[in-house]
Amino acid sequence: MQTPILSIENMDVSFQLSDGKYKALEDISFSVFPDEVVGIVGESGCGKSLTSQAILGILPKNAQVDHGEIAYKNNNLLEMKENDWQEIRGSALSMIFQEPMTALNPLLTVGKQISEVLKKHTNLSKKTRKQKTISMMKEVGLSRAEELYNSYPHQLSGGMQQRIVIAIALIAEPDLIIADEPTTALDVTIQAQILELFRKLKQYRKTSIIFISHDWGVIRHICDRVLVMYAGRIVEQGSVTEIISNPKHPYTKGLIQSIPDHQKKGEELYTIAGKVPSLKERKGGCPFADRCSSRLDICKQQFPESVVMEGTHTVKCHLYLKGAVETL
Amino acid sequence: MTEALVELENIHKYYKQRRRKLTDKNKYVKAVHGVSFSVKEGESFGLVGESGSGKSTVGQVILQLTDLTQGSVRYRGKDVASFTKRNLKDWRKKVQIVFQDPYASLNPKKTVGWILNEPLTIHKMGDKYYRKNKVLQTLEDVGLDDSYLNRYPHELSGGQRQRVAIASAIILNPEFIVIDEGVSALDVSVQAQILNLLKRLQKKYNLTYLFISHDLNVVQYFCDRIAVMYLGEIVEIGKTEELGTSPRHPYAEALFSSILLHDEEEKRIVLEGDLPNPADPPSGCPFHTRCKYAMNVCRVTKPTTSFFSGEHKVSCHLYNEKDTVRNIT
Ligand SMILES: Nc1ncnc2c1ncn2[C@@H]1O[C@H](COP(=O)(O)OP(=O)(O)OP(=O)(O)O)[C@@H](O)[C@H]1O
Ligand SMILES: Nc1ncnc2c1ncn2[C@@H]1O[C@H](COP(=O)(O)OP(=O)(O)OP(=O)(O)O)[C@@H](O)[C@H]1O
Ligand SMILES: [Mg+2]
Ligand SMILES: [Mg+2]
Repeated sequence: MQTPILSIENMDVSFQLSDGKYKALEDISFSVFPDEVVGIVGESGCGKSLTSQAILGILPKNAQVDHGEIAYKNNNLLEMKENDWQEIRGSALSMIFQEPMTALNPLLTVGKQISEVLKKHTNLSKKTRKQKTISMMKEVGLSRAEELYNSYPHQLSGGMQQRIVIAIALIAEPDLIIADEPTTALDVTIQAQILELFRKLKQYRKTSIIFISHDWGVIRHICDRVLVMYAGRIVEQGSVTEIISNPKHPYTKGLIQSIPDHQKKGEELYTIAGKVPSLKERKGGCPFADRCSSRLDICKQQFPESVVMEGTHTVKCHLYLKGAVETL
Repeated sequence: MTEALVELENIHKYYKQRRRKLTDKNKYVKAVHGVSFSVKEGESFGLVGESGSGKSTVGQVILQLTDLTQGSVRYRGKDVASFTKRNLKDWRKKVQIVFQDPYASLNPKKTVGWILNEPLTIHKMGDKYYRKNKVLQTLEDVGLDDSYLNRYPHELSGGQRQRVAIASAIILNPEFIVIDEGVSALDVSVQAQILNLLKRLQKKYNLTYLFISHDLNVVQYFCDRIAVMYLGEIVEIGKTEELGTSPRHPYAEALFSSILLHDEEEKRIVLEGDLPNPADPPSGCPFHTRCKYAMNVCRVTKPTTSFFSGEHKVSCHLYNEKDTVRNIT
């Protein structure tokens, strides 16, 4: 078996809030293999972005990893010094941020912001840097790259800004890209172009990608494997076809049932009743129990062990634990 | 017939481009180029089209967040440019926008509680008690609760920020809301909750939406009519049932062919070539450089708008009999 490029084991992350410490991620374990695309799905606030921030060592100031390990090619990322981080962040590991303006400097031209990455991580000449920047901009579908090079972020449309952020993440040819909702602001045509670019990176450069998205169409299109997160935990994972065609966790089933389409016009859309518990509302037991229509007595008391369904498909739900099946 | 709430007439919005050399001629990015349409009261009007085609600019023009190069915006029949200061303040309460990038639009130095309370205070809505309740109620409506009141925008997840932006747009009970990719950062389940909420508000208060999105599934679900933009112009407009199922304009056809989850790969029409430069748009039809049906006339003459049936309009020579005939003979 191949060795993973990234592996996370039993990671817990918590926030220090004014009235105490609250767990935001619990027992996160997963691996990413070379040239694999791993999707992360889950409702707003479940901890998808936080997981990526933990991997890249850029957690918010009031958050910390309490427990667990993150290994990237034999490096323990949790013990890495800021100096070493500077070297690999952006070059070996890079991130495409969810909201473009969080990642862009409003006072610098976009061309400069892309070529800056090359300046930091390579010793290419200024001229080559500019050439590379322009060809990268074209690859993300900014065909007027030469003109846009000297634009400031506010002069670009939302989708154009998003593509600048993608260019910044890809320009140094990283081994692992964490893409947090990278195509949400893009129309379908350009989205297809970006997905194709990711696919090529995977195929020709063996780049691994963690792909956070709520768009199941995109997930199905690009991912090999999917992790389903709920309230800070991974509750189900498996190959993308397994998860979509044969979801096991009641939460995953609910998510798939909520996908809107025009055939549902005029009807209320299906939603999973209730909402993700806030950090302070999370108690013991399965965090989904309150919203789950298949809830068993044990669900509120104990968080379920992971059950292997088939191959790499695992689920954490009491319904599939031996005892529960018998009582059904 | 229902009354038009917002009417756009021949809207142009050009941005001056920086000259690279002093001797260069002034160039303008033609972000919006002759757009006219009207949105009826109580309707959800969808605006779709390629990135950079001018959708956000149209939204901002309507709300007077940017000045017009040419054209006029009327609200309930009155030219918005002619509003007095006082009228304008009243009007600002009635029209709201959810911006594409919530991170950029929420004040980073203020808490969620403050952000939601402020518009109520500015417009002197009720007493303190009413305002506090209204803030809490609205937070709950968007699936959040009082534990978020003291958070700063950067202490929220992306989707939570987006929901705070939606809460601040609906809190004043407006008449008209521009939702610019306002639900695109939300997962399907929370998105469904928000869409249901928006529909409920619409039914209750006869709210009107301009809904900008590239998620065609959502647009088709949510909107009564759709307009398709390309390079600053509207190329097709019509009822969702008609346009969504049988788009006529070759660009709209390509766009709608690409709904990933529903269509088989083979049916996808992949657009060739690049989006032309909006500072230097092609002659004739703006889409001719990428259109697989392009005829000679398309390179030279801009198509006029032809009607299909009733409200379904398309700007394309293919549908103008005279043009096609001229081209064939
Ligand atoms: N600085 C902070 N202080 C307190 N709580 C925080 C902070 N940053 C994030 N959180 C909370 O941590 C949880 C996880 O946030 P995260 O950004 O990982 O969510 P997400 O899964 O990416 O959601 P989305 O789909 O909305 O982007 C959320 O409930 C959020 O409110
Ligand atoms: N302040 C500005 N200065 C110069 N050009 C601008 C400015 N704002 C927008 N533009 C240009 O106007 C055009 C239309 O932008 P707009 O934001 O309306 O597009 P959009 O259709 O909303 O795209 P997206 O789907 O990517 O959000 C783009 O070419 C953009 O670069
Ligand atoms: Mg997030
Ligand atoms: Mg926009």
